[in-house]
Amino acid sequence: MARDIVTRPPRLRPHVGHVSPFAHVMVYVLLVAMIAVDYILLAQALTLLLRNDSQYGSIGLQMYVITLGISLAVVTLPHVVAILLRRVQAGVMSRRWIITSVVLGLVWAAILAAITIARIKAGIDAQNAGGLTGLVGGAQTAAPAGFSWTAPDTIMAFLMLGVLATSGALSFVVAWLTTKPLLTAAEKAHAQAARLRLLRDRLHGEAVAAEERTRLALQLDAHDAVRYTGARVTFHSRMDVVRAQLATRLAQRERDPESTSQIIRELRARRSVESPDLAPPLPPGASASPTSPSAPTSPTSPTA
Amino acid sequence: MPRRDRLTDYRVPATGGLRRRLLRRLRRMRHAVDVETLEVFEHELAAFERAGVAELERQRTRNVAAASARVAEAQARQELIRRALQRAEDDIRRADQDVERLDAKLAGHDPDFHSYA
Repeated sequence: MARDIVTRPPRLRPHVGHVSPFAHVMVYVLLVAMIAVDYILLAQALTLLLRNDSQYGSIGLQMYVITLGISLAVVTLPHVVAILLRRVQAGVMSRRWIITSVVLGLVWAAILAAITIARIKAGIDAQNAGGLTGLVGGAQTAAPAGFSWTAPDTIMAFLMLGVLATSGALSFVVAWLTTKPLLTAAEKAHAQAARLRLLRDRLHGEAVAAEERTRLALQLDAHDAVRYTGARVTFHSRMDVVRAQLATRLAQRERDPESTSQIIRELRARRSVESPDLAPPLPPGASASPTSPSAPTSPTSPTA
Repeated sequence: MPRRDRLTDYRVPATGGLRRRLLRRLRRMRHAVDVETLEVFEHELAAFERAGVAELERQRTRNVAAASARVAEAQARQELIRRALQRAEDDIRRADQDVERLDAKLAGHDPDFHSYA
């Protein structure tokens, strides 16, 4: 059965060319979550990096600001790059903005590289120092270690790089997916208008059908009155048949034709007195002659 | 009018039972039929007729109620369709505005966005 478009209208988008508000909010929730993850990660890394200074508590606020700035840049730069590329693709912005987006991408890569290298360098330094330099009297281990791929700090640095790069790529992909090309948006808008017109035409058809149904419902009462009259006529004729058969049987039982005709006459008189208005419009011959075709009796015919 | 749109048919009370009853009683008192007996018969007939007429009246009342309910339902649906049509017209107007806006963007003069490039 087809879907009733009046009681359950098809779900149509109110606006084309815009992301729905819910999706918009969800995109920003995702971005904020990724920024938070990066912030936590970078807070640990920068504390490690600056442990020589942070043990004196001299760079607290500075470190927070740097951490927040770097995590913001790691997440928002790919977002901005994706939006710029979309606009260039749609022809809204000129092609020269590609240069800007490439520069932003390079800045993003440079930030990641700098963070990673600094993290590795901090690990090497910490290993060479053999502990906190502020603690005097610590036993100095002699051999200064160089760069090693398998050092735990190096591995941790590359893991952190992976997380940061993943969050940046995710924000790029999200921005790329939520911003449609302008041509597609225009086509969608045309399709939406066509679909709405189709819906309107179907609604016009439904309106005609509903008018027809209303007209039929208004006629229904009149038709029913006619059928009611017919039913009453049928019932009265059935009652007449019963009376006629009863009278016929009386006439057969009673041997005396005179009293029989008297009884029949009395029966008919009573009926006509009791229900003069309920008498159906039957031909008078049908109800007046109680002689049913099964039992024609001779004495009733002259008296009828 | 299709079958399912019609109201329920009238059920005329059957008179077979009454006839059988009266004829059996008549056969039992075959030699004692007088005017009083005929009066009793006539009473029974009249009572049956009144009961039948009342039954038909009841069906008629029910059908009238059903018909008025159908009329109300059909008019409610008509009203619903009228509202839906108005809403569809509004949606079409808005969709046309969207189309115009996007086409203008495609053509290169976007009122929302000014390119600084």
